[in-house]
Amino acid sequence: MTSSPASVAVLDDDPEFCEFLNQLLSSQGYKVTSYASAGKLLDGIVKSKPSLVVLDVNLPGMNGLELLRVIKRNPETSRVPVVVVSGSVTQTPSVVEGLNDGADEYMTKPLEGELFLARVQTLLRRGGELLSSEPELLVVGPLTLNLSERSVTLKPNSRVQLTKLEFDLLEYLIRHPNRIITRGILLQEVWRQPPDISSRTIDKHVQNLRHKLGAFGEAIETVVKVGYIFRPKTAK
Amino acid sequence: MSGPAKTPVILIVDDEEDFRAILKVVLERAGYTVFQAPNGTEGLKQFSSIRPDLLIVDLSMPDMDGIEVTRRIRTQGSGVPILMLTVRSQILTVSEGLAAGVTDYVLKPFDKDDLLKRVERGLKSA
Repeated sequence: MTSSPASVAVLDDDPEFCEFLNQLLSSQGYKVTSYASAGKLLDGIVKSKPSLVVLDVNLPGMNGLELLRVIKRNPETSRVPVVVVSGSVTQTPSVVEGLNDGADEYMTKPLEGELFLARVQTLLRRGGELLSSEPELLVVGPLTLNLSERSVTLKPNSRVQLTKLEFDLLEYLIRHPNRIITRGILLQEVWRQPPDISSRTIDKHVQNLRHKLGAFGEAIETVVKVGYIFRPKTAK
Repeated sequence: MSGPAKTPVILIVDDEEDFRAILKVVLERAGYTVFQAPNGTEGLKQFSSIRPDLLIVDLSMPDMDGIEVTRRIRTQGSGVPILMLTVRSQILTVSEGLAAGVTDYVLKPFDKDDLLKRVERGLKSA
């Protein structure tokens, strides 16, 4: 991770709102760049690789959600966290569409400064732990998960053979670091099953995954009687 | 002379016992008084007797989903803040939940700081 300030790209057609975000984020040490159009923002994201993007859903010209899809489908920009901002809760269909299209967070105007900053910090923390200069790679310490090849390597140069389910499980854990993940959540999100099948199935898969990952597997900790937590800082 | 400030009361309605246990610990450590119910029917009963300051309701429950719980509470005329718990694969239901009167949503697995901010904001909105 770098020690330079995180950069945030903002696209909104309301100059007052841009100024509000600028002041709010700058006060916390973030470097903010405001863009006046979708095209300029896309160009800016590719060139300067910001740590986070804040987008309004209601933009003249290209709709904010169309822009979100472009960002999330472009391998060069897909991993930048995006916060979608909408005018009010009455725009919930847009909000849902945005979340479904890959937005990492949504908020409604007027923004509450403290809450907005807390969510920005959460997203940046999550992104920073996984930051990779190459698309489609999740990197945590010595481990690299290649999402397009669905392969896993551990430094210095060992390839780890995982089953499809083990790969999905590892990706889910890595994408939700430092959060307690119950077996019920894993069943819903990784197994895609209602949370009522035997939890022993999960325990067995986690046990196999840890075994295959060697010392790195210790970063997947058991939370007694509850589930698991992945702690990237302990990964070795 | 006014008495000591009342601790906000939160009711958790979720069929997953493990998840309720985590939420309870996090919220109690943050200073809230927490009650819990294992399903929607029990949640509505407890809501009527406890009259909590905020509800945290899971979307997916076998007897009655979180949206139906929300509808029934709103039908009673209550404006109590309701946070809906959902996993990302069920995010499409957020719209329906917000239309039914849900105040905000929380994605599982949750980030502790984010959850507490949303709870705080929900309580302020009451």
